[in-house]
Amino acid sequence: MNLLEKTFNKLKQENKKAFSVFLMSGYPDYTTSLELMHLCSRCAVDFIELGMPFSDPSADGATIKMAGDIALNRGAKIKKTLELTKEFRKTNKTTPIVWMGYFNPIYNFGVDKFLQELNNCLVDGLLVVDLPFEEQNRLKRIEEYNINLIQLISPVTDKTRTLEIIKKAQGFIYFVSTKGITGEKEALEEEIGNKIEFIKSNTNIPVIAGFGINNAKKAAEINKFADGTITGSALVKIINEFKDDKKEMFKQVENFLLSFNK
Amino acid sequence: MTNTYPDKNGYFGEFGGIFVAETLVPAIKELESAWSDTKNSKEFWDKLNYYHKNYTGRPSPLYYAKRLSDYLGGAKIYLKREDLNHTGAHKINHCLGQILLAKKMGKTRIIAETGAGQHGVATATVCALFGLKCVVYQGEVDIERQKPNAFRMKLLGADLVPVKSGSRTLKDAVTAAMQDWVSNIDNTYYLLGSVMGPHPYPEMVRTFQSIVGLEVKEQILKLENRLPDSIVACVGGGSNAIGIFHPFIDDKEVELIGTEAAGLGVNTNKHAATLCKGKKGIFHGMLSYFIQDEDGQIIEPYSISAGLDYPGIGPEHSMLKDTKRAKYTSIEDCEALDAFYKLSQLEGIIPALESSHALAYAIKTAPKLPKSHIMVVNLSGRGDKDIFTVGKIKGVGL
Repeated sequence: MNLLEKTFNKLKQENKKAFSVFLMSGYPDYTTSLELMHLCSRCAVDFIELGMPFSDPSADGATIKMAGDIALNRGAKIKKTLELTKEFRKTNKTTPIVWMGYFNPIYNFGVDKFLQELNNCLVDGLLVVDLPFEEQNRLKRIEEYNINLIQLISPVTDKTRTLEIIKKAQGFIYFVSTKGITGEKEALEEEIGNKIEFIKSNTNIPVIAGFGINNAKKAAEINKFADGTITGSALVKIINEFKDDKKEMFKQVENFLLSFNK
Repeated sequence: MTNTYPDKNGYFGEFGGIFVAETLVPAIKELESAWSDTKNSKEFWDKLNYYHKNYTGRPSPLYYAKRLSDYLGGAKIYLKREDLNHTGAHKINHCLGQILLAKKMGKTRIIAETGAGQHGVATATVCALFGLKCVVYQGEVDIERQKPNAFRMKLLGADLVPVKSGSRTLKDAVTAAMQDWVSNIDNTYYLLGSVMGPHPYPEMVRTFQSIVGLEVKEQILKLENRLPDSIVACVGGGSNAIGIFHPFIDDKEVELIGTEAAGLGVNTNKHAATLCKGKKGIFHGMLSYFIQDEDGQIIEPYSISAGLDYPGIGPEHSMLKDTKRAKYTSIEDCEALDAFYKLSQLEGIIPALESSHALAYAIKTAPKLPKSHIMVVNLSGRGDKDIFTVGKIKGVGL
């Protein structure tokens, strides 16, 4: 059992929802992103989604693209993200980390080598946005490691396909809560409630919603159905707004994160 | 037909596939199923052929460029005159095919990306013809260097959306169109403009563009009573090249040559020579060759011609390169410009800067070939849209 599975078991026993955030590796810079990871774990974030920057993130809106571009300009390649993860794990052995990114950097790095490195850094989950399950045999060797391959289900995934994806699911199911890209529209509970309920009636794996969940109120609405939420663009916006004053940035980020746990 | 690519998973050998986010998979599956229901429908092809003939003006002529051939003093050069099509390029071929499919699927809103604007104009044209709403994404840089086409799209009633992210060229326009599609998949058809993207686009666009090669085959047999020795076409995403190559794939004696944009030179960082200088990767829904750095980050390409300014290439071309069935070479901006002037002045035909890359190859190699060598160059588009770019280079304000 890895940290991700342990965390979900614990949350289930305590009858609690999961709260997760997305941070872009190397944004706004390497050191600050490491500090932000630690801040998240101190602020009761249940797991961290760590973005691997990609030049052309097709599923992401302007905010996350901007963060990725800045990170890349500062050298946040795969090796740097591995280093960041390793350094975080030196002092934090409890907060699960899920890497999230696009397949091209992984393919270029070499899939086998990539998975070994992820394992060495004690990464708990991997989500590859542009690798639908038809193409996932390319990551087949992930089975040899204690890393969950996270599956996406979207509001437009039909029932047959949803059931097929559920069969492959490990760790948690990432439910995309808007028809669109990250940080653009707000998630609408009336659109997604039935979908999440259908998934949950067919599996015990937790369903975590992400995309368009920009504040605690929205998260609470979505949590009527889901087992937890992920917030990305809204957090990146705060980091960006206060990037010139680190002290204030951490204060604002802390307030934002704690607002989800009230 | 012995050519069986792509396989049922959308692969051309090791290239192709469906590399899209789960949010797009339903749209891709819907398209795949509509396409497979349609591709063998006689009614559909009859309708499409009606528009090819009466609206576009097909078949386009295969013209013997006598003065150019005489000037070069070697190979006998034929030009496939796709520039004479309605809207001025080969793009109308796949636009008519796809709009009929979109209608059949009950879609009411059409989106497209465009680089040089030829695909955007052709898309806006067929949307006007069939009364469908049209949104075209074009990079800001491309809008600037292809002003006449930008204006034409608006005249035709399309919403032209300037793309301001990344290099603000074709790559970013494709990404923006895909993002629009994700957000509007219920009513929207993405009318993709090349033999690229996720399956079934590479196969579908090839099928619609193959009319070019099929006509060439019939025409050359009539004119010369034999197949050509070589066929040359420019490649950006690769639609006009696949269109003219595909019907000749099994005719092994016909040499197939694709010319990429070398920009300021393949040894500079200003080029778009994907097959010559790129490596394998996954982007825009497909496994193919891409220009990228050692970390797999896509590099912004460069070419004088907006239509070739793309960091990737259709998966079938990647296969043809690796199997060596086709040969790919690159042409620098200055060589393309020289070809642009030569064809204008020797034949009275102003070629698109894209097509000028294919012509430049002919100009370079024809003098060394015997007079018995028959070379067909795909003149994929006309150059009216490029006069501003060329004028600027010549220091002539228009």
